[in-house]
Amino acid sequence: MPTSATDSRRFLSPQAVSRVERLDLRARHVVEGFISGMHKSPFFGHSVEFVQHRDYTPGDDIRHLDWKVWSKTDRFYVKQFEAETNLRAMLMVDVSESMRYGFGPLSKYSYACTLAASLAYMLLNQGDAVGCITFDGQLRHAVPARSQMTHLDAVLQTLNVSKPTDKTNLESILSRVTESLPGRGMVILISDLFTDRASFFKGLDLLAHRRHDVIVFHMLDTDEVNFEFQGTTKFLGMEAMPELVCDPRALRDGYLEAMKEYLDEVRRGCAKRGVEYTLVRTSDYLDAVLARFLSARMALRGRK
Amino acid sequence: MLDSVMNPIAWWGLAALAVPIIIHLINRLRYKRIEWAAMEFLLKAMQKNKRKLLMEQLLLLLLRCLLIALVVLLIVRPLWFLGGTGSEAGSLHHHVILLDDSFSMLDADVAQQRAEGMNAFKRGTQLLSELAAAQATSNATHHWTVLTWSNPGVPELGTPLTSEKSEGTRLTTEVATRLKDRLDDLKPSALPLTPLASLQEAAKYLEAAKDGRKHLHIVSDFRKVTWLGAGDEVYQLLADLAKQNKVKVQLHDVAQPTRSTVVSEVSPSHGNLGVVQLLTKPRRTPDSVSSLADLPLRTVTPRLPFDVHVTVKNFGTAEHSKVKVTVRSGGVVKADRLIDRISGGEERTIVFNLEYGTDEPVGLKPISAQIEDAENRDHLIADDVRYAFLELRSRIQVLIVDPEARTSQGVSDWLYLNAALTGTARTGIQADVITPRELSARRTLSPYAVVYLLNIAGVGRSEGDLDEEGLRTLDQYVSTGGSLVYFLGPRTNVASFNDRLYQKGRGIFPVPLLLKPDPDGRKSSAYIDEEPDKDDYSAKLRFLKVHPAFPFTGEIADTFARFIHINRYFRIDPQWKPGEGYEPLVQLVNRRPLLLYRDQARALADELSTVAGEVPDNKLMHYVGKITQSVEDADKKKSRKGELMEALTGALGEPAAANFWKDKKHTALQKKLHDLLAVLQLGDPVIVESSVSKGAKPGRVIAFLMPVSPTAIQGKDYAWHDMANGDLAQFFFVPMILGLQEHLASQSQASELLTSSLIQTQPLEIRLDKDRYHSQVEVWYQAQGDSALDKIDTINGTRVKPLYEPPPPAAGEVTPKVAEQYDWLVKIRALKGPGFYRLKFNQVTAAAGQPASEVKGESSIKLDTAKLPEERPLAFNLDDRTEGDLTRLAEDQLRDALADGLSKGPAKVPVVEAREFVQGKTWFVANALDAQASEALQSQSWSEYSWVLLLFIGLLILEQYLAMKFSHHIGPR
Repeated sequence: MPTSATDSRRFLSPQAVSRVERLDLRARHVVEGFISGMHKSPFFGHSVEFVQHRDYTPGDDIRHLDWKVWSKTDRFYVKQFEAETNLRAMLMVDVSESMRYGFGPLSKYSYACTLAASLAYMLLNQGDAVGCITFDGQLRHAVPARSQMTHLDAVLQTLNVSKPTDKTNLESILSRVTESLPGRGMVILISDLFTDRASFFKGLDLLAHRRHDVIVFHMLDTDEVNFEFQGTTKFLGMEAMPELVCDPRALRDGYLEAMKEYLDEVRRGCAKRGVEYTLVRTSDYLDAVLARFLSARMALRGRK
Repeated sequence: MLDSVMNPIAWWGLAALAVPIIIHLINRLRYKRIEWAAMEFLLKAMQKNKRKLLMEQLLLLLLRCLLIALVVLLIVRPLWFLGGTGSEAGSLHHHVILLDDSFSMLDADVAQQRAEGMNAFKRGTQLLSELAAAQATSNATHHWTVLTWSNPGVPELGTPLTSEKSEGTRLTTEVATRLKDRLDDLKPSALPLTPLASLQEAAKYLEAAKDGRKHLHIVSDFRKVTWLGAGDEVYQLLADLAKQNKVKVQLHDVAQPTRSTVVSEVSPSHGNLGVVQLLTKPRRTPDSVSSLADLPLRTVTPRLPFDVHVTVKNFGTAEHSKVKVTVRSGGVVKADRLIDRISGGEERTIVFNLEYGTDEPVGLKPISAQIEDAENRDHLIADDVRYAFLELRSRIQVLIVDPEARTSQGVSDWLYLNAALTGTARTGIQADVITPRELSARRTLSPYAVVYLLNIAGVGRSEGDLDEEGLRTLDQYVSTGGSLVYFLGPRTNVASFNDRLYQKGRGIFPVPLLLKPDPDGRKSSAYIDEEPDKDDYSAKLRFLKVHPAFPFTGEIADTFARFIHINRYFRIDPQWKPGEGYEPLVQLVNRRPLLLYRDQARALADELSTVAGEVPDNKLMHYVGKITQSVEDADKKKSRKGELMEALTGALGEPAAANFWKDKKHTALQKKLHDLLAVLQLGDPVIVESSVSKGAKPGRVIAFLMPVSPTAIQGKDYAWHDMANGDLAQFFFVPMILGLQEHLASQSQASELLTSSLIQTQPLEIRLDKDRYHSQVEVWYQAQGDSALDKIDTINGTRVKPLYEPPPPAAGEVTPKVAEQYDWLVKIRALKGPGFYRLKFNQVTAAAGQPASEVKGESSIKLDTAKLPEERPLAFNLDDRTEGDLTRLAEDQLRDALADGLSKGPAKVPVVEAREFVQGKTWFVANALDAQASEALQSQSWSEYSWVLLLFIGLLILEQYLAMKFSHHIGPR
């Protein structure tokens, strides 16, 4: 692990990030540490949502003059749109009970929150609109997408307040989100996807149908991926699963096999629906995750 | 290994088997708790691997349990050898030692060694002493039980089986010293012995020993005769002990020369000369009756020439020359002969002609035959001498009273008697023959040993009668201990006999006779006629006792019983109740016509046939047929009931019907058969004996209810009997008369004990009639050449059932109420070895001057007077024929016998396996001390258990490997 003092990335390890208590600081810490030196934002474009007119002042781009108003009133008005962004991103963070798992520096939940916060910060920073939904079995909190920088607080508030309790139910959530989202947008789902796969894919189908741009951050704990437990352990199932006492070493091979099968299924399902899928382990560096995500987006943009 | 289960320590150790299970359970209790999100996959994995995991875990558990069991074993084994307490070092051994003390163990190497007291037995005891000393100082714990062959019931060392802890005595230096003293004092017995009894005893001891290693030592000279003749059981037992019970069998051959190590080779053995027989016989003359000459002579009179037959056998292979044999009487050399040469295996009988002079004191003469100079030429000298008794009497006078004593016409009774008594002139008997009338002229009859009364009529005035004076003389004679023999005859006047001689039991005739009034009322003819039936070959007589006069048993008795016919006899009054001292000696079987029993037999046959089907193979039906057949033509068969009796006996004794008769359902039927059989067998007594106790010394009376001679019966073609003139006369009549004479005359009452070649076996058993003898018998010993006797033992007899049960009462016949019948059984041991013994009976032990009768109480007063003090000589000899042959047993022979025993024994080991087992073992221990030392070393080095250690290590490695594999240890990444 690169931990030399000169490496700025050392502050982006989950250990370092976990030391930052406040989520907004955490997000800033992550994004700014990461964005520094990066010149281009992948998010741009224009908002099309008209908000108001204002008087033309010299210097304004004449392209924004509302000529229809001039022809009626002979006065120069400049069209103002609601946000100066052309992207509406909806962060969906799973706060179900299973997300609470984590013995590392960051639990899945806190990693997910940090990731969501970082993304929100990054997006808001570019003037994109960011909304946020936390959910478990049902919708917990929802914040509509706004592009104001101050909206970040509201987003973070949502994340921070939510305590993971219930079971994930993605289909209903995704269909609700689909319905509530006006127009095309970007849906970023951060979840461990410990749910019924069929319903999850059904939800994805709905989103894809609305031509939403869906990005899935599959949040898994390193333990869940590697299963390196020793000694007799009683596994208390979260989300109403049964408990099991076993020697985890004996079961590791079987577990890993089942896990791989599951990951493959999820990955394949996402790919089929054109959903961008990223597996995130709680031990992953946040910047690496973001970088991977951004580079993927860049590639996508180039393609479009 | 399996018998460690018996060890309590092992039990505790096995409890440790629970440890892995407990660890497992504790682990299950002490788990980490993790709240787990990805349960789905875990459950899936679990479901998939459940069975595999279970198997793996179980395998591991088993392996670990096995490991712990091995650890326990490794710990327990040494503890076990410590004798259970764990505080001592070394292992526990049980030794059972069987010491051959048959007299062949006296085999000494050379004269010089013998002088030092060295012989095979001594070598054996020395070996044991040394072995004990060595084991006492060794680290291991040794428990010893030493048994002798002669008396295995009482261990020389160790505790008897009956005690609670019969595991022998633990050897310490002190015990070893004690044992050495004990063994040094031990002498071989004078008995011919086989190892069987001691081996059976040893097996019990070895079985009683719970833990530790078991050893069986046999110290013997391993002679071929003993061991090959020992029987299968010995080898079965020995092989079984060695194989099944894991007893280490060690045979110590202590005979010289040292046993060869080549198993097929018979080790050379010492030669031995022995006197195997010493018989005194009448001098064989041309006119002597051959059967009498073969009888051993027991009583001689001065100047009566007799022969002493001495048989010498050379048991070895080498020839001996100039063997001098001497015959001694009372320690004085009477004769000697030189045998020029006697080759190996040869048996030579030499006859010494002897007679006693008139100056020789009368009495019992101890006779011995001995090989001289045996010390220098023979290895085993114990058997070079043999003993016998001879009784010397100055003259034996008997009185024969016969009315026809003075008539010379025809053949009178007295001639027969006289011929039997004195015919050979070798009996030393002198008979005076007088008529009853002449009896009154004699004032005393005391010089006569026996008075015979032949065919006297009774008491009265007629020619054949005794007169009053004569009766008084006889009465006095009997009252002072005289012996009377009656032979009745045609003259016998029953009424007179009953009135004057029987006198309601107070007279000198033992029984009242049946008085049958004659139709014409003039003469009383009281005899019973039984027409002889020449075709009847069934028994007609029953010898009720083995009596000196009738010493016949088995086939001989059977032959006499079948072929002697008694056709006319006097019958005892059936109303008479026998008094004390009365005893029938010979009884006829029921001679009434078969017809009388036909219906009863048929009824029984019918009854039997209804149930006989219950016995397999129609075995009983066969007898039903026989019974029915036997009573067919009953009128023609007259009194022939032999067939019927045989059929009844057969049905009752049929082996296949043993269970049938045991069944309670058939008890009634069985009783009926028995009853009929008893009635058929029950006839009249014809020879009776009684004691007449009127004076200080009871006299003995024997009455023959028939004449002595085969007196012809008028008008019939048969005589009263054919005892004295038939084909069997010389075999029956003469020995009977001589036996009777000897019984009544000799002070040595039991003539069968006088036989000169009595061989000493296990304790000699003598049956004594309770009416004649006390149960107590004194044993006296007379040293060779010493006239004085030493009392060495007093033996108390035990009650046993008499040989002949009184016949069951027959229906319609009044039978006397008989007192409880029993005999005394006295077991006599030759405590001093072979030699001269006397048994003294009815000795009144006058303690402190008091007559015994007063000491013993009222009931015995009468007995004491009725029981005469008696003395019997008893010459004990060695059984030379079985012990004298010193040829030794080759190990190969032993192995064959053992393999045979193993395959035939209870274990039924296959022959090939038995052979392998036997061949694979060393049986003879060449040097017991070396073997002991190496054994001690072996048990210390544990080399036997190295395989346990190897197994343990192997299992440990396997366990580790499997544990790594099964529990998915994650190696360093």
